[in-house]
Amino acid sequence: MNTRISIISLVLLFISSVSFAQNTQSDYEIQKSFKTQYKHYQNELDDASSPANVKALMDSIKVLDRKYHDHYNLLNKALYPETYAQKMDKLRESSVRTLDRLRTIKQQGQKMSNLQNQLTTYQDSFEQIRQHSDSLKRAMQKSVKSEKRLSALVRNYRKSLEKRDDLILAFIDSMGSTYQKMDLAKMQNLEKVDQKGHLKSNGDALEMIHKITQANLQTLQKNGDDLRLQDYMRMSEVQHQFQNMWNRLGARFKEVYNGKNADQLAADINKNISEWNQELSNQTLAALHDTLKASGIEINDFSNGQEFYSAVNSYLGSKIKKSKEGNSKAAYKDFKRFQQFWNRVEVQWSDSFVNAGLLTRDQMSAINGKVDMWAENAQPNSSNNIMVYLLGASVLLAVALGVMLIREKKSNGKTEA
Amino acid sequence: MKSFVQKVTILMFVSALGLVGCKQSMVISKVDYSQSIESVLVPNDQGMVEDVQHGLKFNVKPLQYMETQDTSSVTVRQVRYIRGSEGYYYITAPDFKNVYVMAPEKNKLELENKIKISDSGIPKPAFNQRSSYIQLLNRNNGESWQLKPNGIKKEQNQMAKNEGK
Repeated sequence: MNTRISIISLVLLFISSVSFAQNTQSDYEIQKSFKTQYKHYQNELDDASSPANVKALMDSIKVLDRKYHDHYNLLNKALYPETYAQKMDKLRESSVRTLDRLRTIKQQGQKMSNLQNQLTTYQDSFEQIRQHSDSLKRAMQKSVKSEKRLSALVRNYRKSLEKRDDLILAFIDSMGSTYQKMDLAKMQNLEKVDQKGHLKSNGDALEMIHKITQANLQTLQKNGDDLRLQDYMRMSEVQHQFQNMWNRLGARFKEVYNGKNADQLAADINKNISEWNQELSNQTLAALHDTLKASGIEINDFSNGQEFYSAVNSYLGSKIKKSKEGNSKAAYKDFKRFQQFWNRVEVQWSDSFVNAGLLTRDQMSAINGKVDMWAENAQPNSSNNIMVYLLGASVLLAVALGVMLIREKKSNGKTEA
Repeated sequence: MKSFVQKVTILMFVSALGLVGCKQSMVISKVDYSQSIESVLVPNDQGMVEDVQHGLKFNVKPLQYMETQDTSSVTVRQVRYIRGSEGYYYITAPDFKNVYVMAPEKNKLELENKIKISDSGIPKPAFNQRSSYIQLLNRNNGESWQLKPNGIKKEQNQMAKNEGK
């Protein structure tokens, strides 16, 4: 491109010089030739695709100025109401602006290239983890007979999913911040400059997002039996952040995407996220139910967040009532079990519970209040025991004193006798 | 009574004549009509040319007839004209043997002078506006002439000037 501009400029200057040497130019031809060359450089500046091109054009514009400067009186008349100086200033300013623009675009292109490398790394890692998870899943299916081996494989499989979720979160962070900062107007300029270049490859981001939503949905649909509540809580966090990123930047990903099926991909992503939400919610409720059952916390059945809250509320209400009536070791064990479960919810999963729609913040506060109330009453009443001990001790002391008194009386009687 | 009416009528007539005679006339002098750069126009099939920038529209057939005595079809492929400071139009075309000095009149251009340039005509003529005259240029060889409404004077070209030194 750079060479092309130089050659064209040289040819133009050569032709005009030759024609000047061979044929005497009239005023009409001088102004016409100036206007033609001026227009040519304007167009070249509009079409310039690299800073080097513009620098070559700037040199040619200097030559143009040297060539026509002597005719400025004539050109002032021909260019009226503008002047020759104004026109040349305009061309020089335009070249500086173009140079700045292309430099920025070049930098933006560099950023896009880095982003593409990042994306490729994510894609590779994602694929590796996916293959690892798949192979573990196949191994699990083959090892159903060996309980011990199966358990180890399930553990590995869950770790593999955890790694994948970490990778997705890193992807969200990285893509999110990059796309947030991205200047779309400059991106469009970049697209004009190099249609085959960076933007096409960057369009992979939309495909990557599409792939992630597909894979997440499949993971939920196929592996429900192998996952625990903590897995769902982590997935819920990933899902929440992923959906936020998509809601915030989905339009940008789509706009930047260079493929033809952007609308279809975006529609699929929306559909996948919606199904992912529903599936995650259903499976989380089931896993919660299993966890409570395994912990010996017997609450009523529930099929949604509101029912879960009602069930917990009613469970706590009845337990508090019973604890007020009297305590037993079994009742205290119930309390400890629930407290252990609830502490984990509060410390580790409170955001996930809220994001998954299981409980609202207010509902969590209400449950906290009830758990505190239960705690006050659940403790076996230690003051009563002390009274019993004190009474016992008093009785013993009285008996001892009585015995000692009788002995002393007897010994006094013997002495008197 | 009759003589009185006659007197009044005569008086009114004389007054009217006086009023007409007293109408003020205004003249702006030292007007410079010079056009900076010549216009180059291409005639249509009917021979019409139009210079939108300078607001001039005319038919080239009378000029073609003067040169070729033929107006059966428009053979002039290009017309070049420039207006001098006095207001006359200098008109010529490629291969014309003459420059036509035309005076603008109401809805017409009247031939003021026909200035002969050469017997063979100039294949690539051009006009340049100069401070006190119109320059006619042969773009093929750089020959040039100074044109005024009433005559022509050959200029010594640059090469000849250089040789003279």
